[in-house]
Amino acid sequence: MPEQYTIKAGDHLTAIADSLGLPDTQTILAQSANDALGKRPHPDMLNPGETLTVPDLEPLKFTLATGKRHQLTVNRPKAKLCVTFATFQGKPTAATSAEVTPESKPSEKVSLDSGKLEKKIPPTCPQAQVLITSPVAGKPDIHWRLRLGHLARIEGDEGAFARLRNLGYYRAVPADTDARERRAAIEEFQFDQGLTLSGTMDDDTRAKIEEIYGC
Amino acid sequence: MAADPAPVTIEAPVAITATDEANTLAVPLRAIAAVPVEDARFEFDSSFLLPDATRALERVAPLHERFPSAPVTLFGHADRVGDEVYNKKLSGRRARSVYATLVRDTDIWEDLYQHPLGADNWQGRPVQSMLQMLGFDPGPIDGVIGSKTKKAAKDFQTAHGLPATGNLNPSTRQALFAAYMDAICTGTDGQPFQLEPADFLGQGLDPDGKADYQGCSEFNPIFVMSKQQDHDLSAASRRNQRDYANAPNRRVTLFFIDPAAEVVVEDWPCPRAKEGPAGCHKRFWSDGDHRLKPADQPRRERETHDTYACRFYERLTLTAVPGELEAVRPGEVRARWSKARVMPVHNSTFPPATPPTDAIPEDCKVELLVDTQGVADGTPARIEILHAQTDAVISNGELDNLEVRGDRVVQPATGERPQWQFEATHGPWEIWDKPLFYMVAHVGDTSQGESPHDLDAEDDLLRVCPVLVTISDAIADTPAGGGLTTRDEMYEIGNIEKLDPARGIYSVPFNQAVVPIALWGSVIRNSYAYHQTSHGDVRCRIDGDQFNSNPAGDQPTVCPNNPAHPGRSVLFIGDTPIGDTETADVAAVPSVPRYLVYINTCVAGFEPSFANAFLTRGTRNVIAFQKYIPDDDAREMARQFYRKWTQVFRCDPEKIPEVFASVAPPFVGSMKPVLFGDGAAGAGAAGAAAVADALGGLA
Repeated sequence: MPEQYTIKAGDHLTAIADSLGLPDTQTILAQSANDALGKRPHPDMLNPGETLTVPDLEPLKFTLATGKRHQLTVNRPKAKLCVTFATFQGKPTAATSAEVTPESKPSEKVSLDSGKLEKKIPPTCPQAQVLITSPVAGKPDIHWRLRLGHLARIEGDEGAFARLRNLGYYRAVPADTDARERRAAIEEFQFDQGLTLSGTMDDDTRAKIEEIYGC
Repeated sequence: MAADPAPVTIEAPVAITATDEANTLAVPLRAIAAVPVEDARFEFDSSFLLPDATRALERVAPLHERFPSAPVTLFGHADRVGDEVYNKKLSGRRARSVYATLVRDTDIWEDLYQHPLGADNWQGRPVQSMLQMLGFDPGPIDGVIGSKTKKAAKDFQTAHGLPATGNLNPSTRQALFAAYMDAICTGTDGQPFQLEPADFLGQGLDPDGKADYQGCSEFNPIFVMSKQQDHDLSAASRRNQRDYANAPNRRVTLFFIDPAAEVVVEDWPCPRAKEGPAGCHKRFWSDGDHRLKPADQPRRERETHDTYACRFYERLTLTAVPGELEAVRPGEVRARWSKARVMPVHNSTFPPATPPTDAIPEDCKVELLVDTQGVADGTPARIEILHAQTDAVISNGELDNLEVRGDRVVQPATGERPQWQFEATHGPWEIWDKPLFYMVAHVGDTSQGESPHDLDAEDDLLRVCPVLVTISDAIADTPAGGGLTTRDEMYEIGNIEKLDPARGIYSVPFNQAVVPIALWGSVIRNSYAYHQTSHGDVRCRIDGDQFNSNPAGDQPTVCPNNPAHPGRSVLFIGDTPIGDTETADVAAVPSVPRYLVYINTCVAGFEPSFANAFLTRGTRNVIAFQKYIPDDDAREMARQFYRKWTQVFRCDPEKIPEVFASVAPPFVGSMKPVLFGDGAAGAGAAGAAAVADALGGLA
């Protein structure tokens, strides 16, 4: 019997697939109960409290000769951390490399292509540190502490403002309800993107945030 | 710049997707510290920085030391008076003037000198101010480059190894600008302090200072007056008051920007200082124009958050996490004011109620909030109030007998928190000092708590707004003021528009006011100077005979009907005598003006004993007239006197005799003006007569 799974903070589809021992996310999306999820533009992103249906794990069957030593390979889903580092004005950062440290893994130096970092990570890795050393003397290094899978979906205000925050528009703490700061962030973004200055999170603005943020 | 600034940690939620769609991360732009250079630090309507700009500039050095890698950018601001294009230029010139001072770029000052903008002309008073500040006396700061200024220039040239021509030629100006910048732009140690162009956001790479300094025109006021205020002050005759109300809006603000933010200078949103305001309008809030318009209520950015039209500027000033007050720990005493600003007694509103009353408005009261933790009820306590600049104690034991009750310091009689009211006699601050105060609470024998008293954080201090000049055309029970001098004339004559509220130099006019003698002291008790243009009579105190029936001649000091009443003449207003007896009555006149009483009566005014009543109680000077005074002459002399005293000498009390001597001579024949007090040839009437002699030989 397929089971209902309730999403926890930090969950994303790849991590769920991996923790269930599934080789990829397709197995989950193939569940007819998850049709609606499959139709989302970004099925990977899930908000805590949402539910999805997970398939039963079928026991893997191997027919192997006895008296021999066999190497079995389990296909795990692949996960990748993709981040573009930019200036608050929307240009790629001038930095050309970053040092990435997924939690409990060794650090690795990665070059940035127009600010873009791509790095394979274990699917269930909860956090990664990225150190960006400024190429400009006198500028501080920035330690980004990335909480993987914690970005809420764009459809809700939490997700929309989290993206504005990541883009450098909105600086309030998460629990903040400062209407002025929110409005300032929205209007500044709308201005930069040539949208009508409404000061509210309308559909056009939400769609544009998703486009500019990247997902 | 520092080599190794501390790394910055930023936490961010990101998405992990099966595709290559990326998250985008940017460090937000924000200011981490700010230093305002207020209007008062500038010459009026000018970009020239006055000597006491030091007070603002010396706050830059410690912040630069604390945030060495934080780039600096400057925003100049103008008020709404004038059109926005002009204001954009003026605000830009002010920002540029401060920038030049900080990086010691004398070429920028030379450019400002060479190219005046409207009233912003450096070629007169500014060079005189610079010479004077550097110890070379140019004579009066009047904008006229006369022989004294040339002599000062010569001395300056000699001292700096330049040919002593007395001409303020380019090389002299360069040396003068450099020396003056070094003198006014110092660290807290008094040593010259400067920044490098590389310390600024645009790193000095743009020849016109892109991202280093810019002008916001009139778009980001701190204060927007109400519709009613705007309407009331729109008349040309109320210009002075309008400028007074707008003073906080004229300023330059220096921001330290979070060094973690990566800024591409060519993308910096603000137009250059010399560019027009079009680029500013683009960054307006969607309701930006509306924000600048007066509404039903006056608005202050600090309270209503809706006075900045520029969204970008507002965002820069927002802080991410508002600071929270720490809890009071056991044994601790914490002291703070119930409000940040009080008016001295009886001058609570501007303009004040007419006529003033004896009631003390709420604006004049401040509660002293002293909280304790773990201190026993009944523990004795006392509070001292101190001037923040000099640390002088100005409370006089009035707050000695307090006690702790329920974790707070209260008055034992009422159980309420103590209150305090400021009066001018609560000196010893001088008129050019900032009227900022803090308190120290002593609880029991050991515990002590101080309210904040860092001059860098003026908002934590108590600001008192003293009144410098009170002008009245009626001080007693006459029919409404006599009405010979209108309110607008009083403003104009008293030169009130040129007074400087940002320095705490305020003025209060009354006219058409009936103020009984019993309240007279209330009117003037908070004034540094009192100017009276009353419609009064001189009579014999003993038999009440009027003397002023001979308008063309000297006022008699002996009763004409009874030679046995010498020296008993007295100024009467209605049936009330106002003479030495009355003004010396401490109950009626609790304190006298510190510096000046100017008796500008239109019928009679020379009353030596009356003047002496002020002088013996501490007023520095009294000016009066020994003859009948024609209205026009009376107004003209007063006009000239106040113009010179307030504008040229910034109300320096020591200059009163000098100003008097320079403006009085043309009026000796018609009015015989007399100066009593300091600087007069002697004390009282004899001294006054001697001055009159010297002026015109008419005694």
